[in-house]
Amino acid sequence: MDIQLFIVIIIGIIVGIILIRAIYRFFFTERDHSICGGCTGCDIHKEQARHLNR
Amino acid sequence: MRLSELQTGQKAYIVKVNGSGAFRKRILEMGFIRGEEVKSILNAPLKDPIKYEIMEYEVSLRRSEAVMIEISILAGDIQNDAPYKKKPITEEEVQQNTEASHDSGTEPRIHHYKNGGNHTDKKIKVALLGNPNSGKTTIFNLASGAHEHVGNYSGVTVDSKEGTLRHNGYEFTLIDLPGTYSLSAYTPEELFVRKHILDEKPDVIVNVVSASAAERNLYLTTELIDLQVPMVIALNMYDELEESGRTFEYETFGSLINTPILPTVGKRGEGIPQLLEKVIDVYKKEEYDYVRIPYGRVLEKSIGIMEREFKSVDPTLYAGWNMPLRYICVKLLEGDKDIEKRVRTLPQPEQIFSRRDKERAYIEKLLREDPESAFTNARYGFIAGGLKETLTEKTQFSETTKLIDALVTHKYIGFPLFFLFLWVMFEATFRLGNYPMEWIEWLVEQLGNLVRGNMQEGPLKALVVDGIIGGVGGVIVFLPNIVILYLFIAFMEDSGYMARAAFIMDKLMHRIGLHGKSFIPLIMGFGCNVPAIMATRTIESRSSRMITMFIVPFMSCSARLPVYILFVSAFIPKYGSLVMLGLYAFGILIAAFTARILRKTAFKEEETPFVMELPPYRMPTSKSIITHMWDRSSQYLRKMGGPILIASIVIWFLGYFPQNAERDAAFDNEIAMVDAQYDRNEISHEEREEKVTGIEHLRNTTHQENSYIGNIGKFIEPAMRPLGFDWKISVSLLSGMAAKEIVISTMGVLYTGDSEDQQSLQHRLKAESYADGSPIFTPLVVAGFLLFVLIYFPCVASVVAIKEESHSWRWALFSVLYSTGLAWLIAFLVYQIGNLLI
Repeated sequence: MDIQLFIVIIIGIIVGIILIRAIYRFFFTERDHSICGGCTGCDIHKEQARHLNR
Repeated sequence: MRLSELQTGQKAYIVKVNGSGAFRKRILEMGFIRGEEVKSILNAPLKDPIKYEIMEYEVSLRRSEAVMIEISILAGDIQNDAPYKKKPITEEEVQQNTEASHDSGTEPRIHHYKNGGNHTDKKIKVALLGNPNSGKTTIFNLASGAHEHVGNYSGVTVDSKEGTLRHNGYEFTLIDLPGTYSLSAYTPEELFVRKHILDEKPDVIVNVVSASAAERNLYLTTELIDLQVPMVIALNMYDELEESGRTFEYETFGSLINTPILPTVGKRGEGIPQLLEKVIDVYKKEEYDYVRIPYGRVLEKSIGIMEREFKSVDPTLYAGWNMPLRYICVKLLEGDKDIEKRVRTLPQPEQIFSRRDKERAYIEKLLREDPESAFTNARYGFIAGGLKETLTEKTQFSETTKLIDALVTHKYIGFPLFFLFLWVMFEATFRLGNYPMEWIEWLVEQLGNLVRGNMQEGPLKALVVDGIIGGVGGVIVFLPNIVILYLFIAFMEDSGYMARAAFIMDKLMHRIGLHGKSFIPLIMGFGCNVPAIMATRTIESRSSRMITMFIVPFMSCSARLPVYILFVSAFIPKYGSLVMLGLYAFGILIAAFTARILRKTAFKEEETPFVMELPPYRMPTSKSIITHMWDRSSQYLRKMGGPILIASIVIWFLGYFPQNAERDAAFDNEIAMVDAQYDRNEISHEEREEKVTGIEHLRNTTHQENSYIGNIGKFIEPAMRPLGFDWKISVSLLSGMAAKEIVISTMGVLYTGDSEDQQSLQHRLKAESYADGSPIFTPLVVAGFLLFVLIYFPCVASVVAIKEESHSWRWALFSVLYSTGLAWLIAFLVYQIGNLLI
């Protein structure tokens, strides 16, 4: 096989793996919700807004 | 009299803050308390908002909010019946109050910290806490060697950051928390900070206090004292206090609150080692002696009654909250929503709430103010009492901030100056950045030619030259422009001008249903949309936060800049800066239009008030500017080696394969026939060259059209054809969904050109034509394309950020569909109407 084509195929396989890994991480890895993780700020704001509007 | 009626330059004294909810609480915590002196400094160019000075710092309020604050011009009116600021508090008084409370034995002392202060290991978890813009991140960066983003305005840090360092054999884990004025349950960052202290249990808290506005900053300290956490106070920006001619006996004040205080100058790193030493001392302490904030007879009695009410509750039920009982009672009396929620989980909460309501009524009756104000006043009273004896008055008054503000917030020249600044920013980015850009372009060309001339023909050569050098090289040339853009953004952020921009824009923002604070994320969006979307966390109102989040992607980020520069330099070089300024302005217009629609439809909730601190101007240090620029540049370079390289290779693969040997042989035959004609002297040398170039062009075009990417392009082309875009433009836009720079790298791969020499992408784009010889990039296509890039699909990272911040894929999807639909519509109108007119 042509050496250039062989190298290109290897590069293609590596890039393919990186791409699939990135797509997997994007859809299936849990992200840290950091600041809002579990905080009740938004609910409190909704309650306040309801109170103010009333 | 109302605060809004106060004339510029006039002083008055606060009588009462009306209103309710978050605004009232925030305004009280920021020092608008009974008896405090307030001065009207100036009006924004459109007469609203107004800048006031209170407690030695500046804050902006809208007229509609200032009208809720009652004032009196005469100090006597207030001081006669104000318990606040009457006399200095002595150490003995605090001691007595602390002992009295201990003796009453009403509160079981809860030890929050696993070792109860007697730590043996050498790992210290330190949380940095303080008011917004007090310099926490500067200290964090200096101590841990991190490069976190800092700026001279409130709300730069919106997330907790962690860093580590070693000092004197101890391993420190530093946690930089978002700035907060108090530990109430009104804003997400306040709740987050409180949750962090209670759940993560840092070993020691470094409370960063801005020395130039110590009184207001110490309010948070009183809350931390109530929470009984081991603490060291970093009196930051101490140089500013000294420059104002004041002296502060911080050691005396420290002994009053039984907390060590150390002066620091974050930007120069002064006092940081001493601060770490003190943290070690506090960490090693076996017992912490906490003082009690004396709230006065009435409030103390109510706290005592509430503590007794809790006697019927099993202490183990609330021990897990990690809060002292006194703190729970104080917060319950204040009406803290988070504590109320927790108390509802206890058995027979009605009994506690019924007692609480009685006590609140009792406080209101006796003190003639609601419990929230009463507690805030008492805390400020405690601070003022302590500072009265330890902090001297200002003798040196710096006029710099006033002078600059007189210009940049002037009613006639305020706006022109702001737009002039933006114009200079784009002019420098475009014109000045053009020189180094040409040098890098030349280098990329030379590299391409070197490989082209020395490598054997084959797929690897094509991958290196057309895929990697063509793709990545096409994007890397814009590095200088990005660096210049960030230089201006860093200057704006570090000097304090960012907050002024928000101040002068508030009235205009108000018209689209937002407030000035939303303007800061929008400006940050010029750099990168992702941190800008995250910066919306500082906006208190959820509806305003959501609207701002959706309009941030219309701010042209630095990733779109290379696309603009490429097309503007290639097709409209004469009016480069103006076209770019126009594109940015158009983005702002679209954002305003979207905000207005969203406010009228999906987010009709009442808007929150505009309360924003205006920091004094500070000369940005060269170190901070260079760090800022370096961080962004390295981020850009990392992108080159990461997503852009990967995308370029993928696009090349899709464009190179499948190979068709028969088709290639047919083209080779045609070239051989032309050569034969030339050999028979039937055609001249020039004619031969022309024919061969034509055949090569056809070979390239046919190959690309039949490649995988060509098929994808042909598939989406019908949707893009009405905009005047061919399949290559369509594919570039499709790949640009991952990151906008990939639009360029894809073009770099697709528009390979016919020349034997590597040419710049600009030249290749200009030379691109249809089979009939008509140019692909007509002025209308270029205009439509630039607008499409400005408006369409925010990059994947931005979509994820929207999803994370809105906690909903639905809203992220809405953002994608709305922006792409709008981009299509606008590009369609430009092309079709333009064709009718031209």
